[in-house]
Amino acid sequence: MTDWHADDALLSAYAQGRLDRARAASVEQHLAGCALCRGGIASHADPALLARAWVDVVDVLDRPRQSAFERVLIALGLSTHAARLATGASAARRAWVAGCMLVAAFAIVARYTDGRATIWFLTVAPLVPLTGVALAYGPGAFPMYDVVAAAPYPRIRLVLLRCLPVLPMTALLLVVGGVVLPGTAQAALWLLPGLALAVLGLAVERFVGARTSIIGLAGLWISAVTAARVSTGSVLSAFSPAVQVLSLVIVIVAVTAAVIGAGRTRRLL
Amino acid sequence: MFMNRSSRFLDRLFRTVRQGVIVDDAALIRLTARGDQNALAELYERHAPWLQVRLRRRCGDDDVIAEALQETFVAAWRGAGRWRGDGDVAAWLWGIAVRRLVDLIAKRPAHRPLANVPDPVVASAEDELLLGVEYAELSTALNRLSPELHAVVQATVLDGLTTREAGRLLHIPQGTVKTRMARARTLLREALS
Amino acid sequence: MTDIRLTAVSKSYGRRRVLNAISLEAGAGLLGLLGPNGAGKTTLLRILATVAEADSGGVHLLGQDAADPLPRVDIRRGLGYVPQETGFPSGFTAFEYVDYVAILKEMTDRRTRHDEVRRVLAVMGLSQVARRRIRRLSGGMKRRLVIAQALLGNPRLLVLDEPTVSLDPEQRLRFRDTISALAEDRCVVVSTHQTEDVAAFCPRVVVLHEGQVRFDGAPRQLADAATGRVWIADRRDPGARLAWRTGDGPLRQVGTPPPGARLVQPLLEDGYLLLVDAAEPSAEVTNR
Repeated sequence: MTDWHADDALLSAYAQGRLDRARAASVEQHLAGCALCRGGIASHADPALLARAWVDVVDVLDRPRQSAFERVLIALGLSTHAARLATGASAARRAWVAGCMLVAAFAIVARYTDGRATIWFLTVAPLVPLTGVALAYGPGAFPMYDVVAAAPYPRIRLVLLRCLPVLPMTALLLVVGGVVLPGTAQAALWLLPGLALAVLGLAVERFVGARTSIIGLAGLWISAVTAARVSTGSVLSAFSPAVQVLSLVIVIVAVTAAVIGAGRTRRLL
Repeated sequence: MFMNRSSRFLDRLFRTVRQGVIVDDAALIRLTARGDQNALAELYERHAPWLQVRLRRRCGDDDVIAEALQETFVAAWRGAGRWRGDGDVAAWLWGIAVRRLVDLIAKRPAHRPLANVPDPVVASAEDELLLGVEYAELSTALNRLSPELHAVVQATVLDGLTTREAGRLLHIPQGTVKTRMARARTLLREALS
Repeated sequence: MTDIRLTAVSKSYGRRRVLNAISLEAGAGLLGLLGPNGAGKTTLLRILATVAEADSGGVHLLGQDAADPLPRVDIRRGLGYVPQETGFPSGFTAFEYVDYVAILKEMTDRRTRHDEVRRVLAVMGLSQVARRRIRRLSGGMKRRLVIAQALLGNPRLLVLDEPTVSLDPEQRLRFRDTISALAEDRCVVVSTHQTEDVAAFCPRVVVLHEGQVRFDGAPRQLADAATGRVWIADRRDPGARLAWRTGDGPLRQVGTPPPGARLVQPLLEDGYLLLVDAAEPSAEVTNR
């Protein structure tokens, strides 16, 4: 390192490409090791270009991190902002995901240790969609509820987006059910009652809040299953064709009501 | 050199950065590695201008330069934690920047690198001092190289690119880079002997 | 233009009547809402933010009927709301939080949205902590974060429910600065417990008490309502409802002064106190 520094005329000639190669190369070598001359050449840079590139840098740094589930949704064709709305999680919902995993894990363990796996799996599995849906949105369950309720985004669309994580969990339990339960047909027995409970939960949640709707419906469901088992001796009676038909009717009525409601305020969906 | 000290020290350091006290580049890199955007901004202020000018001598497209600069500092942000602390920050940043430029230019087949044949400037006495008298003959020889040969010399010797990277920058096969480099070396050696 | 027009708005929760035939109009400018806990301030602001619906009466905001679903969406496009209490999704950074709300405010272009998010974070002095997890922010920062989201998209109507809670004194002054500037050309409603906030920067104050508007006018008028009711003395007088020793020495007393008392200029808080103190029937002040 010498005491020599490039004067402005030389830096200016370099910046404008007026130096021959050897001199240009020398200036570059000098710049690489001399902070003072690097500062001196700054006045020959284009400030607009620098400002633009910096804003671009900051934008990349700020960009929210995408969760794995969010990336899956985007890969499936959801827009990036819709995927963001679907997955912005609350502590309650994280607990729910953990709970679903636990149910699945216990079901598998119980399959090999306890013959009564069927009973409790069929009792608990239908509550998974219900709890997932009730925790997706609404006062008490979604921490930003008040802020979100004052925003123009269509509420129905937001609720549906936020219910999306229920789908993979339900699918997971279907697969686990196939492994755990003796008959393949039995594996899907709980699905319709589960969906009916979820739909009811969504309807009730608006009025009584997430906690009450979950506790109430779950309580009703468990008593119904227990009563069926006590009176007939088999838990499967709680999944009789009559129950399945009733569940289907509930789901169809709810979906129809939602479609009609959405049609009435078409711009809302 | 700050690695083993407490983060409280780094906080104090950060405050001095804000107050305008000069902090060396290596310390800024370490602050950047901790997620301090101000440190990155300071690095940008110090290095983006000269990087821009130097990139401009290799590429005539402002959009490409802006993109290369952006990617350089994003890479610096993400890679600051892996910076080993040996060597100069300026050289490190230039190494990132010129490789980003290579990638961007390689992506654009239509792009033509800047034709690098400036009008020679009459050397002043001070310039001779800069170059060093002993290099006068070498510089004459460098100025006489054909644009193709000079481009290869600049990419590999001056910018420190590998043969492969130089090939992507100049849109020529690696073999051509090697043969041109060999020819340039012969010509320069002849000029010195 | 009238941004807020409430006509005989009532709201009950169960058997409890929270708002009782409230009528209120407001245009551009700053309106301070005062009232004791349980006076119905939050319910009123939730109605103004279209989060809650009135049981009866008319709610017209930004020239549209808030009871109608479609116009309500239009109202929300021009609305910024800071709830009294709100949670944060776990794991979000400050930037991600505001970005989430920005999506809900229909800003779908990522680049423009992120620029707007950065702008409101800068307005609230949060640029430095944009990428910090919310759970690592201080109470004041969290509050400013909620205010920041309300500023997204430059809303024409701002509804702020106790925005200054947990702000330190300096931040409160900065907040006044920001909000006063915004209120130049839009309607801003701020509820607060802090009478000095209202006295300092609200040209209009509304006192809500037991679900009714008890005062509506300039802060000076509210203070004047206590004229002749505030005095200083060296010892506590029997007619004093409240008395405290001032920094200068003598006791400052509010209530019914003894004959010949040294009366002093009342403050807004004196007028407010006499207004909401139920045990003081003579404190009735005529509504505007």
